[in-house]
Amino acid sequence: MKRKIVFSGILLIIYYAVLFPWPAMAQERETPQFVVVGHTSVPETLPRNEIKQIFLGRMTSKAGNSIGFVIFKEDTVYAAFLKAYVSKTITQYTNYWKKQVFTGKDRMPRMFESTTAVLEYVASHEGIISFLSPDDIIDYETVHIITVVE
Amino acid sequence: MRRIGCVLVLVCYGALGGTFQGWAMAPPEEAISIHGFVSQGYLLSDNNDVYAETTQGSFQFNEFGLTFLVQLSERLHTGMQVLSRDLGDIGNNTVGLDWAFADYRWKDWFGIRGGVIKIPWGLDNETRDIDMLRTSIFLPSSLYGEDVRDVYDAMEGIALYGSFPLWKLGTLNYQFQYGDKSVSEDYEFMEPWDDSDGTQLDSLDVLDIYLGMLEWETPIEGLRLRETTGEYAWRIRGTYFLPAELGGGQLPIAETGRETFTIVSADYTLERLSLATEWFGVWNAADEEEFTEPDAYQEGWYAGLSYRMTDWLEIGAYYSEFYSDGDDKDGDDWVEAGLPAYLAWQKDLALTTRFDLGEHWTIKLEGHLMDGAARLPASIQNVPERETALFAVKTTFNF
Repeated sequence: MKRKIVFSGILLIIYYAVLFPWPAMAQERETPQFVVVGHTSVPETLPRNEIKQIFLGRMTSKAGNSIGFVIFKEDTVYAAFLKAYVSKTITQYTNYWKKQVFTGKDRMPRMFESTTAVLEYVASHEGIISFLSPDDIIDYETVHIITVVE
Repeated sequence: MRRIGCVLVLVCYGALGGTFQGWAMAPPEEAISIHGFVSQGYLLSDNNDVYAETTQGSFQFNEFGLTFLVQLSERLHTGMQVLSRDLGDIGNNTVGLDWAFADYRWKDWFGIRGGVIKIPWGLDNETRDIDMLRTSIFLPSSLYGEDVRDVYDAMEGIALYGSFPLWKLGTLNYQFQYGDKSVSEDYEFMEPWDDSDGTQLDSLDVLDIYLGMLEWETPIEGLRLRETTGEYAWRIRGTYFLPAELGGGQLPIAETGRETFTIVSADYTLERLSLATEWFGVWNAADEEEFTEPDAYQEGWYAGLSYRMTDWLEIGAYYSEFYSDGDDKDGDDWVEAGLPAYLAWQKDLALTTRFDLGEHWTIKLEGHLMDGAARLPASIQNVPERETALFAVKTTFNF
């Protein structure tokens, strides 16, 4: 048994050394910026912890009003937002929601691939928040930037 | 062969850019959302058959599930999942109801669901049949033994659940369940008792199940602690056929008992790294009506980790220990009965590589080195070997 473990361990070290993405890991990436936006019915400030609970589907109302979210699915902004406020990678977050779906507890969140689609949805639905690159913000009468507080 | 063909068709459809409602798309305002998965695997072992005839190599290893969710109102939804699975003689692709319930979420801190509900037996039991939601192919057998899956998977009953923010102390999630279930003679749990020495088992009823789960998402980012505890009564019905030398005839079998259990869990996620550990104990008493002095005790634990190396590559490992009698970890009672001591435990070291070929397709390779046979069928006539090496490969398509 012990010899099997040692031999298998050596094989695995060689296996993973070959698979390990050395060049990709060596690259440094600049962290993209983002802002949290929401319908004007949502308060102008939200605590960081509430942002996390909203995007995990655990907080669906605030002060008696419904609150929800949509996802902007541009990978760099998406990953940065999740890391900052939900403490998950995109894969971890996707798997979290797949667990919710396949246990019947919730449905997949709405996701949009364009800034315009996100803004139009937020503008037309009370209680909805999302996140975008600050360079893509377009003025909508019913959308404002939300300040996240500790 | 049909199952392999089905998997191949779905793979080709996905590769051609089929119009499944992908996870990446904004779902329309539909009344019903549909998701599903198909998995097919292959198992090969050396000394012992593990779940299937794995010493010869076996493709009897697959799952197929379809999930339907309907949002009836802002706070009320319903859904169901049908599941077909095969693992050797377990399941044999019988299509059954995995879960089906209505769920009313009155407040974030209070909701109620009723129907066929999954049991939160540990961190992963509720999703144990969904391969793409975890790193490994097999969950640690200490807590998630395939031989007892059908006992702990789901119940018919009600659940109360909710989430409380604790401000700077994190979040507290809870779930309380009550219900019961029946397990037919076709289930793997019954097999070691069935058809041996003229015994025929007809049913296992698990009654008066109540459990509570408390989960604390601590202020330490990524650290979660959970405890699940509960109690249930069990009742086995069957028939014992007397041998001819004893005059033939039949005697009814009616065994009862009551069990209580505790599971303590912790997991920690730091960016690409995930760590998890769980311990459980199950105490059995002979009195069905009231849990008094336990006369049997099972125990097990595991520790595991996984690391997401790239978007397409994840590796994982775990070590697991299970003791069929926590008061006899060395197997002395087995030796007294004329059987080897290693039947008292099962220790398992597992290593997994997971490849994500896009959002809908995964392939996994896994190796196990097992010491002991506590989770394997054993009898005087059929004593398993002490050590087993198991290789598993599995592919899953989900939509």
